Amino acid sequence: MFSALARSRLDLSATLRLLLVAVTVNLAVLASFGPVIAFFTFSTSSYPFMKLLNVAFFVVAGCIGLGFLWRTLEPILDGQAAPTRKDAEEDTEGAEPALAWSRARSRPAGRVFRAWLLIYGAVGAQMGWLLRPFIGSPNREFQWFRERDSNFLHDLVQTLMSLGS
Amino acid sequence: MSLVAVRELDDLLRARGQFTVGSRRAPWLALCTFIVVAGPLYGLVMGSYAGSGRQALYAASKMPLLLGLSSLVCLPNFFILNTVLGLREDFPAACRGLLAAQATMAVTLLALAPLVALAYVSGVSYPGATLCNGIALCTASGAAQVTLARHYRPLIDRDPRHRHGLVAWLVLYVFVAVQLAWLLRPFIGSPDMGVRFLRENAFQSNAHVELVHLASLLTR
Repeated sequence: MFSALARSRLDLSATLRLLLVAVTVNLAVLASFGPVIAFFTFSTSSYPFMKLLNVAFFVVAGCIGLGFLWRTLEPILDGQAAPTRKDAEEDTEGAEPALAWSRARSRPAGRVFRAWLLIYGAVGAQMGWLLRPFIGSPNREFQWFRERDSNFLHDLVQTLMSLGS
Repeated sequence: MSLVAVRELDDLLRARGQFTVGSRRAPWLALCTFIVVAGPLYGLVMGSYAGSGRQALYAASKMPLLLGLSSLVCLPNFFILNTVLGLREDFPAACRGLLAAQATMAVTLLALAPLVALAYVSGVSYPGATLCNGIALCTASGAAQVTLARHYRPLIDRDPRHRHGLVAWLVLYVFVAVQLAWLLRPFIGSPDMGVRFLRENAFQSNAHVELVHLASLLTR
């Protein structure tokens, strides 16, 4: 929807294909963290640490996947090559260089991507929270889904605090 | 034979001969040999603090484990990251740089072993021995960075994205190596704790959690 609003040349199937590529990159990076997770699972009994480590790796993998998507999406949405700092400075002679570059970056592609990024990040985090447990607390019985309480950010802060106590 | 080995060591540290950066044939075997020979020799010295031959042998066997396992655990992520960054073609050159850095670290540790031995013979306390080895490891890490920078300079000149790959490697490697070193304790061997290959409850504790605990205690 945002892509169509920005008058991009991407139709629905092309958008889905691009998203699939980004998710694939995300998963490939996550899988590459597998040996590190396995090593720490094997060598530590701290449940809060394992939770935070997994969150950190998901964030890193997500950022790399979205960075990959951005590099692919930017020229397509703009209908031209991505602006470099030098291009932007030449386009807006006399203006403050940093400001000119910032303006160039705020073309429709940038706005579309940032809006989508916010939604994707929020939905992804909350979906992860709803589908928990993934790691499985050693002090609790096995269950497919946990009861709906609290939220992702609240639990993240609590886990961070419990690590230091 | 020993003269040849010394010349090879010199070539490694000066990045010349078969160890020249970007030379056509990568000296994989020589680099691995340095790690599996120099690492255990330093381990022998490090583990001799309590005067137990068994502890020295344990430490000797754990040094190459520490260097090798940390790299193996981080390597899949390094490969995927290089691929995502579009640097797959340079992956062998990057790996060669990493291995050369590991070899430099092992060789530097070996060069510092006599100083550690001198400190032990001088009757340094257990915390003092830990500090000596900590300084030796930090110095060797610095030497390894020099070699790594030599190998990475042409790669970064060719494509600046290599800088991201290098930083990601260093962060993940240090993160894993700290925990592995914690897991593989004792290296020096406290005289009060007896000879052991691994500490009791080695798989239950975590170096990073301990550091956070320590930091929170200090800030209270």
